[in-house]
Amino acid sequence: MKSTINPDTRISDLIKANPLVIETLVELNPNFGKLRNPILRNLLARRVSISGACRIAGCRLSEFMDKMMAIGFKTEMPTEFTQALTDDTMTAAIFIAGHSVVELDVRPVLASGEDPLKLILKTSKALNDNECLKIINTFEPIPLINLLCKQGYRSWTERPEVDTVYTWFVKDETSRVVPDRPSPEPDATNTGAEFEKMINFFGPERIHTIDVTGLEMPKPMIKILESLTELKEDEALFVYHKKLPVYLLPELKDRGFRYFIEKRPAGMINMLICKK
Amino acid sequence: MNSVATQNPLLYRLVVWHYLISSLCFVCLSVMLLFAAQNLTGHYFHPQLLAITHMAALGWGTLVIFGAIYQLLPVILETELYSHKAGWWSLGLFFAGLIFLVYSFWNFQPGFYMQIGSVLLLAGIGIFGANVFLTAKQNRNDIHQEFIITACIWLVATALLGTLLVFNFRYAFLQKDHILFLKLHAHMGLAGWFLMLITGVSSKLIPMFLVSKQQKPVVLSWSYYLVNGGLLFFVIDTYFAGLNIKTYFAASIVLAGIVCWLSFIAGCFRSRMRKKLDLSIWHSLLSFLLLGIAIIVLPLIVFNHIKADPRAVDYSLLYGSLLFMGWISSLILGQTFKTLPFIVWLKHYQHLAGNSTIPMPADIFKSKLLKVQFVLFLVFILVFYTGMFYKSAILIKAGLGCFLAVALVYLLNVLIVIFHQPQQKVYEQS
Repeated sequence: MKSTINPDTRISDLIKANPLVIETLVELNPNFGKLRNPILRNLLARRVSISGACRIAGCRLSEFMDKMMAIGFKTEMPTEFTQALTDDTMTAAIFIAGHSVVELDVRPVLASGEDPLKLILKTSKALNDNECLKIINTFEPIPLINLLCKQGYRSWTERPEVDTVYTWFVKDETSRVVPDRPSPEPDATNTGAEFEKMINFFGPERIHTIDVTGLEMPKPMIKILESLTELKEDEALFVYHKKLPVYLLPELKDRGFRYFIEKRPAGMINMLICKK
Repeated sequence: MNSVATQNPLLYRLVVWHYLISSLCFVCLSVMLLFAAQNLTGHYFHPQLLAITHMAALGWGTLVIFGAIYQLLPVILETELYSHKAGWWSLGLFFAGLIFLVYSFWNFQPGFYMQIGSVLLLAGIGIFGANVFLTAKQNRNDIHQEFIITACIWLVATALLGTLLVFNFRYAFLQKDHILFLKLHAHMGLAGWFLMLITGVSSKLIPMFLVSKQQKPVVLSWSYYLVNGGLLFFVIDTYFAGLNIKTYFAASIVLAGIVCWLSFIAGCFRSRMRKKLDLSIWHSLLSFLLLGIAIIVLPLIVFNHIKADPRAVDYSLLYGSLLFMGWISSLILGQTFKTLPFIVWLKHYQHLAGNSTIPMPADIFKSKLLKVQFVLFLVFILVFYTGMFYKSAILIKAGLGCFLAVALVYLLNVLIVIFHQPQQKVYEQS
């Protein structure tokens, strides 16, 4: 059992080490109530680290760690993390000092069920050195932050009100921040990153989940296609599957769906299916 | 449970070679038919017709089924093939045996070459049967699996009897008439091997291709017991008594089994979620229709045979051609493009799944060629059987010309699938 934790520890590892974690976290912040749902827990907990969870739920890392210590975990905080997270004097104004703001509100795009990523990347490419990008949306876009950080941006996020998140990006060639998202498995395909992105894009409330691993052929395909008929335009279907369902793929195409694949151990896969 | 999520590259080569060789055999078969056209109105116990029948049943029908089984068994049973090496041994022995057998039938040399051919075939078939059995033995609670295993047992029995018949040409040790054994041999192959296998595999695949919600496995069990029961009765009764009034009874039991199977398929059609039927499915429907016609012809053979009317021989030829060139051929001509492109797709694109730029399995073959093939096949059926009906040599030749064209178009499309090259663009983008 792993009892020493740090901000990079995955929530799933925490829960595995001590199932009490869930109730403790709900006490801390009701947003963690999602973890009670086994499907959402499976979906979220293994891809989100403690620091990511704090940001998504909007609670302080230090509070989180205190609670964990209270139920018996030892915590270790890397120094740079401690600095970054205790630095409450940082504000958006300081962060973007000297840059003019290019604002992009992606909420209407999200509401229409589209993926705003292309638009954001296009806008970010067109930025001058003295410009910064302000993204307005409803959640903290961690995959986007990771992506742009890899491309040489620094980011700063604030929550001016509930369900509104501003994320600021400033070009910074000197800092190539290591993403805090769990790194992909060695055998993950090139679509793995895309898969994460789509999961985060839809968010747990717009994802329906089915498990067809126990079904005999051709029932998985039938169950998936039936579930898809009940799917709304802006929703996605998450499927646990024992293999890549090659006969399903043409059916998805004919019905105007896209799919994303994530590999799991023992040849199993996860699929995310959504409208084109 | 073993996972078959990633396709074994050994499997890919094995399957593709089976498809390739069998499509070459199909072309060969249609050329042989053209050369033997004048014999198609004579007796079926004719060297060239024996060669053609074996080319059709073994080179064309059985080899493609071997390939399809190797591909589908791991999918259906969710396990790995027991041995890939055995698959290659089986193919090598089988193909060598086929060449010897067909050559020696065509020139009618019932000596060493025919004997060695039949023994090699038997060995290849035996290895195949053992491989299937060892692959399937872990989970024996699935009716489709029962169909496949029983079909393999019938195939081995057919090959065994065939080998005995070959040796009987030279040593004449069998107590009864050669033609009588030929009937048993043919029906063990047709009903035991082809019908059992096609029933088992189609009842798994067709609901998948049509995306059918409702399936009644009970009728499949009925089909299994009726066809096997009827066939066993036929084999035993005919061995002792020849074709007689009880043959109608045997045929009706088998027929009832076929009706059960077709009612299962009809249920799949009714409850299908996929409304648009593609050409492969039309080919299958046509194949079921031709099987239906062959079944109608069957009582005419028995009736005329009992009356000792020579028309029994004409009807037998009609029956055999409807089954091999109609039912089995049409089914393979369609189903090939429902199976082969998928294994090729898995090889080239599995790791890119999800990428919107990659083609679909159905984009790997040329759908226009499939259309041409389907139309040519329809023309063949119409012209050839009109020719058979009027005993018109010209129409029969013209029909067989169409059949050759079908074979060439099919071969071309199979080659297009096998030699499919993934577009460079896809790799660059990924």
